[in-house]
Amino acid sequence: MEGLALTDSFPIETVGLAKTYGNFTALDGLDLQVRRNSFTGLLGPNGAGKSTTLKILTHLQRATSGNAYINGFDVAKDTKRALTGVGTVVETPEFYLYLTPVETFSYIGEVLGMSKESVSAQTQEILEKVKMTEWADKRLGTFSKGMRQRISLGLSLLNDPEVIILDEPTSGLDPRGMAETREILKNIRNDNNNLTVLMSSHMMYEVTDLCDRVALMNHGKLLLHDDIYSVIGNAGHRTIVVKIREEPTADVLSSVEGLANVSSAERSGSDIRIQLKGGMEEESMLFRQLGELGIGVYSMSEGQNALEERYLELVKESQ
Amino acid sequence: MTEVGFLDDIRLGLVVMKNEFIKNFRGKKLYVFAIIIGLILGAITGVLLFLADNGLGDDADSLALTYVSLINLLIILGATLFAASAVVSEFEDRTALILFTRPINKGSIYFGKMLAAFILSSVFIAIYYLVVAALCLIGPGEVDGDLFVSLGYAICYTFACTGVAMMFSSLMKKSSTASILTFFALALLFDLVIGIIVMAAKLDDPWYLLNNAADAIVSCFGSVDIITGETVTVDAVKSVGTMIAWGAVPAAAGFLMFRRRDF
Repeated sequence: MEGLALTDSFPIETVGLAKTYGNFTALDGLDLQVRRNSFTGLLGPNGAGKSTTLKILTHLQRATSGNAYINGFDVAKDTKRALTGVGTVVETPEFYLYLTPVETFSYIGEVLGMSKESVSAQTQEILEKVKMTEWADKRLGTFSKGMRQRISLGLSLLNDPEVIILDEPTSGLDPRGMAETREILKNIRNDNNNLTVLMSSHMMYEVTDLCDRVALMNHGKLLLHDDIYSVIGNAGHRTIVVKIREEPTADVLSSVEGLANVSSAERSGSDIRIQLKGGMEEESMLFRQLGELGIGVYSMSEGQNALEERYLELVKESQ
Repeated sequence: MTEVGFLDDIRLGLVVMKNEFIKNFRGKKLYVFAIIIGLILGAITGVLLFLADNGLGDDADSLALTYVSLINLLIILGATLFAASAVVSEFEDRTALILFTRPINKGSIYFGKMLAAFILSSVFIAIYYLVVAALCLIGPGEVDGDLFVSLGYAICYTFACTGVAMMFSSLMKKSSTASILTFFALALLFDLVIGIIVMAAKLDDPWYLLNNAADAIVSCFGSVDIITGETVTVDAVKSVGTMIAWGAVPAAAGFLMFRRRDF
């Protein structure tokens, strides 16, 4: 076995990973260690090397030099062992359109060496989880992009993976598809304590909402890799801008500050800028609570989030 | 723990092969090929029955040769339909994102796809020969053993054409380009190259060229050389060896290209 000493702590590891396309350097000696049982967001501007990293990790591309390891196995040299116990969703994959979800799960289950009984039991459970049970026997050719992505996420769970690699899983989806995909990812995270996820994304909100660690890349190098709260320095707060019917008074601001998950509320013209801890559920709860306080809300929108601010700072510094 | 080793790679290859069969059974290509074979058999039989003086005739060898003279084209068509898009379609249709990211070696994928294309083409070719054999029984009342020898050569040629098609499939970025290139290379370009080589080098017997080796499919019936007037004899070992080499070498080259191909 080609295990590394730190495999137990870091199931995903790259050592001096480099990839060039002609004169363009996509990866420049990337050293990355993804902590076990973490949900790590891989961030970076276009061309930073995120997708290349994930494609090398999932054996879709070969590195020019350096190594990529999963559970201690070199992906390039020991592909089968490395990718065992790994679930992958790379972009929005296309499926074999002549197959149904059940047949697709059966095909990939056979590739994974699973028994028919095991595939069958898992398929039913997973299709329920991704809310695709009623589409189980329909050909994938008729599915929308969002539905295919749900199947793709389900497929990544087929062999009860310990490691999941996601490359921009919500890219190209409509808002509903994005929300559904995020919901599934949240459930996957919450249902499984022994799971390491590495996910690339462009969406700061998504990363703030889902990930507990962040790795930031630019120009093929790792700029930062840390706990998300350390990175944003503000315990995962998001800025919500609330437009209300009347100018907010000091009393109103004080009442809003007293609401659950709200750490501060300040006037911004005729709006209120609220620092909110949490994701969509907390935002929805805030909307309800504002109504209960008798505050007439015209609209709620997301201000620049803390991670985004930090991200832009770091990317600018690295230019 | 994942099984590793040669036997598991073979198992995975067979899993991929099964999926290729499903793809072809649910697609149009297989039915297009079946229709073309039916049309050719029907057209030849129609011409013989309605235009020839003595219908299917009483010479089994001659009747079989009439049908077999078109088999090379069908074999090329089979390779074009089943093998030329086998690898490239995974990239073009982005299904590689589903399959290549699983614990499976590219060798198993390539092996499974090539085996599926070879088996599908071979089954159709064998059916064609069986129909010819049936027609020989209906007409002349006997089946000559040469027909089955010819089938053996035809299967070897199928292997060669499948290997060439797999190479183009690994090389090209689009299924359509790979298919066109496969068809024209096997049907025209190789003949053209043969002609140029033979003329330029003043070769007497370039037996190592694919189409020359594939002449065995027809020559085994004891055909007569139109230039010399002599009966053509077939060196079975040379012909079979050449065709297998023509299948194996491009297939191996195709695999090396496929293995190095990034998504």
